[in-house]
Amino acid sequence: MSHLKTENLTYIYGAGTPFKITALDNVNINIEKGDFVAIIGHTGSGKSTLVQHLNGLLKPTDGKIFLDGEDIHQSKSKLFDTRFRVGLCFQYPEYQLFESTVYKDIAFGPANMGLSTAEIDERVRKAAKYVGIPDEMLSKSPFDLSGGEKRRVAIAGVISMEPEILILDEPTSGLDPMGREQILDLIKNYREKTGSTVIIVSHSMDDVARFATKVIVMNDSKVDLMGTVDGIFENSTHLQEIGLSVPQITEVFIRLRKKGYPVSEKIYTVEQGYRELKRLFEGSVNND
Amino acid sequence: MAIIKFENVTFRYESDEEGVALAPAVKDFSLSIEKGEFVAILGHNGSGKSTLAKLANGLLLPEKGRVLVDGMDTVNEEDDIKIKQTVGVVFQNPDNQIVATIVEEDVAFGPENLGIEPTEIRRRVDSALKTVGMYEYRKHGPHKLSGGQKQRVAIAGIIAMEPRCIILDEPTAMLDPIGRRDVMNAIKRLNRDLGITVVFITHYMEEAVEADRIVVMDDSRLLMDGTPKEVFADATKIRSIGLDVPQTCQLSELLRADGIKLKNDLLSIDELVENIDALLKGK
Repeated sequence: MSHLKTENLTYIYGAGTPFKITALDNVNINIEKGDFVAIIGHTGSGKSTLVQHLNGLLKPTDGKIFLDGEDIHQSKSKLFDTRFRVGLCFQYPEYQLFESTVYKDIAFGPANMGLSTAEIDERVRKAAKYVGIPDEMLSKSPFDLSGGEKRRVAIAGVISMEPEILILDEPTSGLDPMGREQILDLIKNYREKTGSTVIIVSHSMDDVARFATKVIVMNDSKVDLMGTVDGIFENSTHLQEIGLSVPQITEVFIRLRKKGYPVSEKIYTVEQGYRELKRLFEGSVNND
Repeated sequence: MAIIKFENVTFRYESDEEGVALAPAVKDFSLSIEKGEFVAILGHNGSGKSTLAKLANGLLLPEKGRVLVDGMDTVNEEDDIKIKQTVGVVFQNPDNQIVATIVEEDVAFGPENLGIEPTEIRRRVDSALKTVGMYEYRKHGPHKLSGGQKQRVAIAGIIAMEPRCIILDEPTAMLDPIGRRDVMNAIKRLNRDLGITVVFITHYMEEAVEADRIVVMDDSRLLMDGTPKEVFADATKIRSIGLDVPQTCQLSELLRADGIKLKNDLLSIDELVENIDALLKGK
């Protein structure tokens, strides 16, 4: 059975005014338990509006969202429950830290779930550990931390609710290469250890190629493509037409094929590229 | 003569609340940027890159050493306005840099403050907006633009003051791939067509390769200084400070380790494909 599903989801900003904009147009997506989903699409394609529906922050103008087969808007209590089961981390979440200490900031979610002090404490420490925030940092003000640390604290604030589905809107934007790796590793780690479903919105095709089990391409408020990494990136011309790209490495193999070399075009990571080129060079030696 | 010159500059931010002195953000740093250059500054978060940008036009003043802008020492208050006219800075977040409610008024803000004639302001605003490809949006409200468009408006606002040098502090960090490409193209035009010196701070290796010269910062100091080819040829050193080399370099590095004689400075897809082609045909 599907874990999270949208059915003919439509959302219009400013409905009933002259400024109305259709941000989601009849969107149908289906996410299974344990999926690592990447949502890609250019700015304004509807990615962020879509993820804000998945935990009930926005109410659809039309259509429905189902979590484990149940409509998340069927009752107030169902919606309340959904907010904890589906954790959403906004883009630049470090701007949303507000408490006086890192500890209190991470504890905010669990406290709202009505957990006991002991349970909250356990959740906070566990979440901090996941994101690599050491104990001595918990008593500091979040505003004294570096950008990368703040981002990890903000993510810990969502993880501490132990959501079954973790959604992150562009979790690595603005970070340096090491910061990006750290964030991606911790997300991967969280998914492996807890078996949670993860959904990320990303602009980095390289990251998508390395981590995702399923890719959803948004264009012009609609789902343009949905499938595996292979299935999506083989449409390189189409992706470029809608303002996206393929990983740099994929481009190398497309060019080599054009030159007549027998290489696969389904190369999306440096590791795959290395193996394919090694095969090509060894093959040319054997032919001599 | 150098347009920006750092001479043994050390700078530290004010001590924290408990009065503990902070480590210097820039330490004994020397660098000379010549007129017309396109220099990229690379370094991980906290390596001192942004502090350099603020030192370069006198927003911050050095604790030791000195910063010369077109020969003027930034500590001399009487030169302050001239220094800020010479070197303009564009920051990371476009939303923090827009002041007006109409695009062309926003671009006019800088030149108005310089006391320039209205007809001349009109000419500069139009010309700046054309340079960044935002002329058609001159009557729009900035809040309805995309991040990349807003960032180009912010760049136009700096160009309209006709500085001889522009420093851009991670101008593409918050943008999507299309926004990044458009901003990158605008920056290249400034350098190539208008001859403006560009100092470009970034995290993206594939953007840094577009520069004439790359300066790598680590731990508040200058670590490397050279052409993109020279800098990225030393992948081990680049990685040791938490940065990375472009994917084309990573690939050729792996293959070289297996004895395949690819060059170690293949920065673009074209160069890599041609080198592979040449090697295979040579056999």
